Amino acid sequence: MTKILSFGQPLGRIMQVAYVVEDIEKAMAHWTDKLGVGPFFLFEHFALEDYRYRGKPSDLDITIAMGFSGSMCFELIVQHSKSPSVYTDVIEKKGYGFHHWAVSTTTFDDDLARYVNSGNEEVLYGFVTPVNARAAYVDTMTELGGMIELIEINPAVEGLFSAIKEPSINWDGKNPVRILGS
Amino acid sequence: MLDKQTEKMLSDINEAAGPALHEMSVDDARLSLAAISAAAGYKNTQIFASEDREIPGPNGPIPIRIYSPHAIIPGQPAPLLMFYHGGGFVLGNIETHDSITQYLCEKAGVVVISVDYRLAPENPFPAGLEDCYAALVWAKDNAQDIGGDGDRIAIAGDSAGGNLAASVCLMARDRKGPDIKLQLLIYPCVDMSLEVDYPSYTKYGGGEYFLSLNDMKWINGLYFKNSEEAKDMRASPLLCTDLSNLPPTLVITAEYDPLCDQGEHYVQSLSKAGVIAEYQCFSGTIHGFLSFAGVLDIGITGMDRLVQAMKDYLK
Repeated sequence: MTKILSFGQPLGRIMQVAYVVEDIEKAMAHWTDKLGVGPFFLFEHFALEDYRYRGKPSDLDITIAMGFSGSMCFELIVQHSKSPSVYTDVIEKKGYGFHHWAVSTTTFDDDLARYVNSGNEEVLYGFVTPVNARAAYVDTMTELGGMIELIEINPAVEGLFSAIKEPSINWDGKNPVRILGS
Repeated sequence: MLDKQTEKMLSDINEAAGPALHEMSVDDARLSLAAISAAAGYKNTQIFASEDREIPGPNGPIPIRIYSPHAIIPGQPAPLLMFYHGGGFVLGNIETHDSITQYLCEKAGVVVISVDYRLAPENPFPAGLEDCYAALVWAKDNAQDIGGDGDRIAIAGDSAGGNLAASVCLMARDRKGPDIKLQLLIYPCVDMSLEVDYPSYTKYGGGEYFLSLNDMKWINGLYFKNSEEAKDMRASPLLCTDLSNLPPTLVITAEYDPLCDQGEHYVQSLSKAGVIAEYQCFSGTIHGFLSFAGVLDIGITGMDRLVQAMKDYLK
């Protein structure tokens, strides 16, 4: 039996769909207005420890917003810094819009190795301190037209996504943009 | 001995929560608490309704959430419970403690007002405390509109919220404010001075049991402008020289909590001052255990103890 994570998606499957956007305020408003996704939780200058782009340390300054539709999380990403990244890679190739699917895993190292061994380069690595979890992106642009992110699942990561999902249930449209924990 | 579920919870936290509080940035620490609360909070409550509002405060509006156990019955108002969330005056909000407030609303049949008071370091002591007091006065004045009984008000808070609850009771006494029927102090910090060598500091403050002395020092650095301020009686109710004429009190603590001893001392001091004060220490568990009632049965037992006190004192 597949384990269902606390926010409702099955472990080992897609838990999030992510987009790169030019203006995150406008994007959140459109996603709520036209698709009913929200409320969005904004993570300004979202920090990734030990960040690596294509295996090398680099600079990255991004703001992300996450909101739910049912048990699927949607992520909007804007990059503030100019340095090459997985985000500029996709924007240069095909413009703003769809960027990656995130897949949950409790076997992070094995899953990452499996992608890398089948020819998908590890293009981003980062550690998310407050939930003590790793994330990595692999380049599957050729096969899928987007990248795959692996998100390491632990109770705090489940809690984080549950805390974002919870207010979306029977949401009355109030406070469309929020900060988690503040 | 730690109970089995608490032991498992601690190992999950150590795996899941990353660095200790005092090693994180304020934003990361806030995020971490939000994630842990959502992961471990009790979830199976059914309340009639909750409503978010803003009420006037001393320095701008204060967000509150009003939890109603049932529809308003004319002529039969429910008792009112003011709830001040924990989080070291720096972290936490209405959402991180929603599992506790919902439970107390449902099981005790009380209207709960959870207060989103201002946090440090953006708003240091005593900004949040003044918000908490203003919310109490608002509740007294507006009880009828929200189906509450302004003559049956209890005050509760956990950890830093317990500190605020104890101080608000002192303020209500000294400012001749609303009459409080009961105060519920949940593993409270009632002595912020860090100058008394409580045995529980040494035994449980080393970082193995969720809250550490280093975390507490980190909190003091963000909450107070200087160490003298920590000895102000509004910051450390245990240091208040006159604890008479306070409402009946229940203090609950956790055995494996650096704050355990000061909670017990507060009960002794209240009793000496002639206040009805009950005390229960929950053995085998840690600071914050009510927030983890989704994975710790003892968290439910703890909340039920509060419910019982409300039934006893808010008849």
